[in-house]
Amino acid sequence: MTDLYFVLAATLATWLGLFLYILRVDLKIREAERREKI
Amino acid sequence: MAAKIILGIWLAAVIIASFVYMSSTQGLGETGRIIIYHVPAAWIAVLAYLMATVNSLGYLRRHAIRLDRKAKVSAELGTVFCLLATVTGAIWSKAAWGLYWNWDPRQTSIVVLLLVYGAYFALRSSIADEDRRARLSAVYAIFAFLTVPFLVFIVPRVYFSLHPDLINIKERSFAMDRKMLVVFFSSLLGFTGLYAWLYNIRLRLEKLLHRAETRGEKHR
Repeated sequence: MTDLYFVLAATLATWLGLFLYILRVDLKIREAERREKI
Repeated sequence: MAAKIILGIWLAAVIIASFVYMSSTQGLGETGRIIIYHVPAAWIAVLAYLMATVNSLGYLRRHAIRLDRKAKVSAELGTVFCLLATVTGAIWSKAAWGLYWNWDPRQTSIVVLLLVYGAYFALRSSIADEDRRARLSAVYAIFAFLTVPFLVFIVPRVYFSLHPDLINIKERSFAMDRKMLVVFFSSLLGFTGLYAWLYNIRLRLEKLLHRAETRGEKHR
């Protein structure tokens, strides 16, 4: 059971890290697009 | 932005549900939980390759370079998700069969698929002229997709494979209980949303790079 929760925690942490990274890239692209328009 | 946050929470909920709400799979035990990630990754690979083909067909009809860009981005994402399906499959294989790789028909066919699309990128990088590159790679992408149903659905079912099947062909039903089906389809939906988001990001980045390149050529 402990192993299962360890895998759950690792998978969740990986997803949250990846999600925040993708969100950051998205915002950076939005910023570049905004600068292009200016 | 709200849709992106919802997607993040949705997939986090899917992860938690796949470990807490869903019971372990019959015959596969705890390792069977990987189905919730492995199958949607393979599904997105097929969807992305299909999108690459549709955009390639569109390019050949209309000769719009934006369609070539869409085809390229889709093929890239298809390959990323295909690699993800390969890696998750290998992890499960180690737990179930004791080996990461044993050239099972499923494993062999996915490697062939990766090579087919690897050649697509090799072709693209070998042609400097934009129109010629777009035309030739569109034709190649259409032929490449013809192998997808053959390699993903037919080959593993023609040859003997240890790979478990999600669909019980004789009973025409899913080999999953109700709880697992709920988590599985939620995961499929979440992965499709993730693909749409990544596709959007990559396409916008491609447009920015194209504009920067065009500006650079003008300044020369």
